[in-house]
Amino acid sequence: MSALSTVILALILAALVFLYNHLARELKEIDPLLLNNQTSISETRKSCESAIYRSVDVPHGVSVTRGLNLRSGYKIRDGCLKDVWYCGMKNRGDKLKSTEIVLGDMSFKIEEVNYILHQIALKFSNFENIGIYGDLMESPELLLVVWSCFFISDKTVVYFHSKDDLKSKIETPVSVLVTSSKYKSDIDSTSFNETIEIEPLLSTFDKEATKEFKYDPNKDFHHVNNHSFSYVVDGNETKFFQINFVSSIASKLLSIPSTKSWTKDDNMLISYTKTTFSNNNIIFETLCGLVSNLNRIELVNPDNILNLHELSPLKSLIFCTDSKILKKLCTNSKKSFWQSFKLQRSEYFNSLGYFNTFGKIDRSLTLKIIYVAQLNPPLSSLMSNFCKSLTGSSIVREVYTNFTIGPILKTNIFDFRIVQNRSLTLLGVPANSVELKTVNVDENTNQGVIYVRGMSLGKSGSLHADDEFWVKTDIIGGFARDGCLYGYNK
Amino acid sequence: MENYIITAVVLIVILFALKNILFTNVNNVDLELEIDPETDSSKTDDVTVIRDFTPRELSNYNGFDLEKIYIAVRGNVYDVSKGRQFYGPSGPYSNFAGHDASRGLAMNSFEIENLRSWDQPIDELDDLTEIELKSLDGWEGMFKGKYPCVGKLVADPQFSK
Repeated sequence: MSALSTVILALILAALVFLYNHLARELKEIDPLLLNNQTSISETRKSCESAIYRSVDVPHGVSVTRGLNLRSGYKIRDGCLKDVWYCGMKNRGDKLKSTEIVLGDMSFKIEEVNYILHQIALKFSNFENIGIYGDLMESPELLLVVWSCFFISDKTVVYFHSKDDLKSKIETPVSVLVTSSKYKSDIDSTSFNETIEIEPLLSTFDKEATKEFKYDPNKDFHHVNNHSFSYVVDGNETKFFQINFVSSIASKLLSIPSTKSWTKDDNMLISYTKTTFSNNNIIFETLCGLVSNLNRIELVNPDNILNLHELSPLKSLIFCTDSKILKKLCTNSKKSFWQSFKLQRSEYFNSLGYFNTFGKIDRSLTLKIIYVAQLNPPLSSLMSNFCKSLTGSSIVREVYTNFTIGPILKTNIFDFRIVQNRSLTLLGVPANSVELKTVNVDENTNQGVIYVRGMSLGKSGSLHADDEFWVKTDIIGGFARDGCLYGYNK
Repeated sequence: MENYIITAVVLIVILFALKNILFTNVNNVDLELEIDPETDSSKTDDVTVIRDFTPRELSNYNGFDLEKIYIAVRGNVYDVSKGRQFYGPSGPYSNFAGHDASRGLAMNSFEIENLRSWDQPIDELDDLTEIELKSLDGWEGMFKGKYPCVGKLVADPQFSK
């Protein structure tokens, strides 16, 4: 007997020795070879400039992601914002309850939201363009007005970022301003013909649910208001068009690998620190959630989430946040000695590419993906690995700007590498709707200013596009041989 | 006693094997090498820098003197090395290689008479008929779509009119 068990043991050991390399490779979430070639690089470049980089999903020779690729007859079209609501309103199947929209303290079914949006559209039917002022994290109700203009009334929304922006001279005329009672004192009543507070307005509506939405996706897409959104920040108006939204939604959703794709059971939680692009982000993320028919879309003020344990009641969560909030949540959590040991081991395996969740701080936490908008200071790869191990979730780091809808850079969802040189930050590869290049100061360095061109860029008087439509950003970095853009910490 | 020693030795061996798993810190990837162009520039060299060519410089890129094959169409120089079977030495269109092929394409002729050599000024194409210009438009579209544009054709002051 003992001889037999010795033989079996020896066989198992031998098998392990022989299969070690194979297993070590197979168990990794992604082959490191793929991480070393993450972009499509143009064949030519100008002197003192880098080649043009694109995501491998949209290599050179084909168009970057333009839109949602909806079918109308035998043709494929890009879609418009009304299509987003049409997709969101579609039946999620008989067994599933309809999408829940949670805006701060208020919770609605999507059919109830549909009724409210129609009521708001009716209320503002006499006005041409609608101005909005207020932070969407503090007064999430304002999102309903944005949606109403996008989906129902097809009017242009002019969003004012700050108090000073209300006085700035902009191209799009605004006669009515919708705001929250919290910001009433900021508003000079002479600037606008009418100022409406959202809270009393919402309380006048009944809580009714309706599925009625007059939009025929095969015909009505021809007649939509192209200039749907304007964002006013630092006195400059940036105009956004239908294609900016649909291209960035499509590029975000189509770049998710099938194993991680958003399903109808997923819940989305959005929480951002107030920045010049946070309101744009919130609108953009909710649109992505609507298209994907998620179970629940929730906006939460970051002040109301104190630690990671508070996220645990929500199952299968897609968490859209920024580096500041995620850092705060992850460093606030207290750990026992055993937990920190497990966490360290988990970090070690994650840094090798073996994705694991045993370092998770709370067993009941089921985070699926965390989308992190990079603020200053950005989330480093070491910190990202720590957060990944602590939450047991994949992390995608994204870079946003004031003049684009959606991110311009994103990291690979499976990227596990920790950059040894701490002065470099992995910023990622170009989003599917844009292409990027660096313009160098001199030929001996690959460091330079990032220029961007693509479908998700808005138009603004302060943005100067050159003859080939390249627009300068304020990001400085360089493309490494793996095709990713790295930023330099000062 | 012997058993204890064996067990202890086995335990030490196992612990040694598990050392990496139990005590190693996170794994880092060294990107210094990857991001510095001076240490290894093999990849960045694949990218052709866009520049100006005189007819004389262009004439070297015929797939024979230099491996790359460039042809000029309406002032733009295209890298047609991918189509070596057409434009390369002994290919059917080898006359175009290293030349301004505009007139030949417009007249749908591959003859050497319709091409200017490097010591002649650049062909201005003023005398082409409407049909010929239309044909040239079609060809130019094909080149733009299929081959990368690597620069512009500029006049050589020594040989201009």
